[in-house]
Amino acid sequence: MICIRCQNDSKARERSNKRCPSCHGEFAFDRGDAFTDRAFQSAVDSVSAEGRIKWGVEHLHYELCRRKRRRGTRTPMLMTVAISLACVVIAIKAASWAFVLLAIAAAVAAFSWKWMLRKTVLVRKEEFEAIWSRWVSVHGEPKGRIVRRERPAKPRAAEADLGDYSFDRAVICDRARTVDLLLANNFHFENNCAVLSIAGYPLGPFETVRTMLKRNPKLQVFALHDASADGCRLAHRLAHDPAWFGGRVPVTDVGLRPAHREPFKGLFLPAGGGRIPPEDGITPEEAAWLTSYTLELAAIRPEQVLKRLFRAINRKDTEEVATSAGADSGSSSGDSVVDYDSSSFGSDASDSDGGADSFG
Amino acid sequence: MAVASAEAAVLHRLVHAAPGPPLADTLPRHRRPGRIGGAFGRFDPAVVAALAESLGTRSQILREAGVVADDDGCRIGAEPIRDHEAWRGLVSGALRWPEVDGAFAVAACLAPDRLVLARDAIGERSLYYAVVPGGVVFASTIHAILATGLVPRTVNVPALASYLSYAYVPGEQTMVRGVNKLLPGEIVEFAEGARTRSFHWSLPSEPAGDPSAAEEARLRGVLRAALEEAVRRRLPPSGERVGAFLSGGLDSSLVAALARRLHDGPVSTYSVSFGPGYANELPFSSLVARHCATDHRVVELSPSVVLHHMDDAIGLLSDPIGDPLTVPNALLFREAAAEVAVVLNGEGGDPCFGGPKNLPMLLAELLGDGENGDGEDGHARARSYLRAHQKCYDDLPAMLEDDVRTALADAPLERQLAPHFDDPRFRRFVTRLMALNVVFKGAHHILPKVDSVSAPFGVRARSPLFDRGIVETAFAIPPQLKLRGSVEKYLLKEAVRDVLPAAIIERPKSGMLVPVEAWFQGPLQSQARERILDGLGRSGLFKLDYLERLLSGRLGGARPRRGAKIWLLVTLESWLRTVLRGR
Repeated sequence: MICIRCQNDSKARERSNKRCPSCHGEFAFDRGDAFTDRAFQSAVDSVSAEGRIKWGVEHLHYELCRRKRRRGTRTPMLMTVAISLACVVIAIKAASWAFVLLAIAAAVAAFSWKWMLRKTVLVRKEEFEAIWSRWVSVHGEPKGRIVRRERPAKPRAAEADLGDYSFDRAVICDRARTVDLLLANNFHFENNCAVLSIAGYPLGPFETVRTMLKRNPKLQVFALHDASADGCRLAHRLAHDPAWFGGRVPVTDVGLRPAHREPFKGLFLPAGGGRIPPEDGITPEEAAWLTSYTLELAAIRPEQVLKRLFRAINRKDTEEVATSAGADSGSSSGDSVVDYDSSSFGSDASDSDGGADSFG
Repeated sequence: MAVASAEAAVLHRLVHAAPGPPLADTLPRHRRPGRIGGAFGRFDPAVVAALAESLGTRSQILREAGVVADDDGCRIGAEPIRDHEAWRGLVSGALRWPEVDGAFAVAACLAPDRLVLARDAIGERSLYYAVVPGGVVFASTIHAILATGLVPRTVNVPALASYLSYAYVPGEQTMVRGVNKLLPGEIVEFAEGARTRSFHWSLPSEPAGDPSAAEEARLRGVLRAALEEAVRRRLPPSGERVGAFLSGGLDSSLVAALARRLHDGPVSTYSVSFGPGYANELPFSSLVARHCATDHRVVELSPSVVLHHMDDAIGLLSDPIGDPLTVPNALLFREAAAEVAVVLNGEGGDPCFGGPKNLPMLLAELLGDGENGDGEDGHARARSYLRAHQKCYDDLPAMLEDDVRTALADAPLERQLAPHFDDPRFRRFVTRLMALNVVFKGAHHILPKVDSVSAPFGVRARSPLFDRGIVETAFAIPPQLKLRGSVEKYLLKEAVRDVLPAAIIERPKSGMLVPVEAWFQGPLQSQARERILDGLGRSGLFKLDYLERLLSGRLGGARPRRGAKIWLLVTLESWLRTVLRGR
């Protein structure tokens, strides 16, 4: 096991009291635990994009789920492939159909095994909390974790004009922790974009900011949410609820929907809320799935969430410029005030940020 | 040269800018009047000779009991300044400084032991000085001060950090340790070995009261009159051709449109394109050119042309300015100089009536700045403001060598901003931000850049929206009429709605598009790598690891803004080599 402090690789018998024989630093985990220290550190590095993105423990939880599926995949796979090859060689040498059948059976077993291991295993919440506590007690809190700060009821500025303006766009989330993710990463600051939750977070500035948003008749609104019944209704509610935008501005849904679920198999949570009716922006197919499951936005790495939002904003801006230059924006939607951003949440987080090349 | 279409044959010409000779070859065409300089104290004659040589053939060197002035369009009250007698009157006290208006840098020595230096209100001309053994040397450019050999060619680290954060160097300090610059509206006096600083002008206080509909209508009329006056007084003599840069944005468009209305001579407009495959704003600039019936030139600059002239253009700057428009601006002036003596531009519209940092700063006030953390040391707002420039402020710890960063331990950048955020003249947050933008960006970035890259071509570059009257009018307008909802420059748009196409008034916000991201991922990648690693990597200022990560695209973060940062560093490398080291 490799010590993340000094990189010394030690065997179990060389360690006493879970300590590295080289630097005597304590290991958080040891043989028999679900993760090694290095695997856990690697998960933190991934979820934080090597320390460049702020993240919540829920993101780390899902990252560990993704990592758990990979454990032990290589050895059984290699063994099964080796057996298949051996059977093929013997079948050729002995000219026996039995060995050919055996080789086929072994190959089928290998692919079935691989398929089973592709499924992500959900680390139970209690198990994650124990792992997290252990890590923090040994290595301390990793950098970049988002800790919710109580925002003052009044902004820090004394100037009275703060609430007199508006913004270009807003992201409205179904969860306060998604608001925290965007604010902690300064998404609002970099994109002229207010960020609020549907339920009134952050409490202090919420009403001031919501009132400001209503001053912009060309506001771009993006709904960001889990693939849950409430989440999938969010864009519809924002678009139609008089307390929000009441049909005055279009809303673009950039959240998770059941259609995005494929790459996240194994991370679904039980819905447990009874039958979901196909209404308020939810299709019958979606309703059927949402009746049984939900999928949290936190299952996606924070960097991907941010980049998806950048892309959505860039698309919207490009449409606006095209419209102002006289081109057809080409936007279409069944609901005139709700637009569904159909680009999926990919697994590749290395996309360009859209490259703001504007100076002046 | 190609004709865009038969219909527009008369109006539109596409100019493929060839690399051509270095910009420096055109230096003998210095704009009149020339740069100023001098040495006050006991100096070897070689010092004055070095100043004169650096400042060029039309330079004005201050002799004993004299006055030198690099001025343009100045007046006292309604009376134009036509000779140096008016400047003498101002320095001697016979005339009042606050009444002088226009672009100027003035130096006067009316008594053997008294030197007076003065810079115009908004900062259209620049003036630098250094206190050295034997006295004071001053000049319109840092190049001239360095040429005397009296100031060590040493980087001023706090100014370097400023440059990396703002893309320019605001304030009294410059990038050269020991060289200071006059702030806009400042008078510096040396007498009996002491330096005294005072200001003949500063931004007016904000009026009380909230905007009403009647007040809005009144202010719109006042603004329109001020705009017309600002453009009119910058036009060349009747019948002469005038040039105007046209980006397709509101500001340059309104200046071109008003010039067309107010001038009785032909108007030429100039736009830049970076060639096929790169985003441009030509549909908008061409629309305005057609609307105003100007003789329109689209100057196409390929990446190789930009690279070819990079050192020459950046070498014209006294302090580095990491704005990718520096080189295109210089080349536009080169093209314009073949046809016109006066070129108008739309610089100033952003600081006075809008500003891309206003909304992010409001969001930081309301929803917090995620990078500021929990520690409240009184600099939170300053840090957000620095961060809002979207350059390298947050990268400084990873970017600069540890021993270099020791000079930043007492937060000089943040402390510099503190008095501006507490300025008692302004009650509203957005007014404070606009005041900062005028004083910082206007006087240390926009106007020095325009002056530096236009002067060598013999043209007078004039910025009507930085007219003192316009600035004063802008600060008499409540900020809610400038930033209306999220619409920037609301009242400015309303004031010129009748002279521009609706598509220009209503178009979405956009700065000038320069394809730095694409350049540094493609045609300029290897050049940038070579310049940054060989030049800055060995300077002892930067961590090589950071430079490598930046160049190879491994800087990461949700929005790394790699192109703008590489341009910032390429500019710095070029400036350190061509200006500071003089190679």
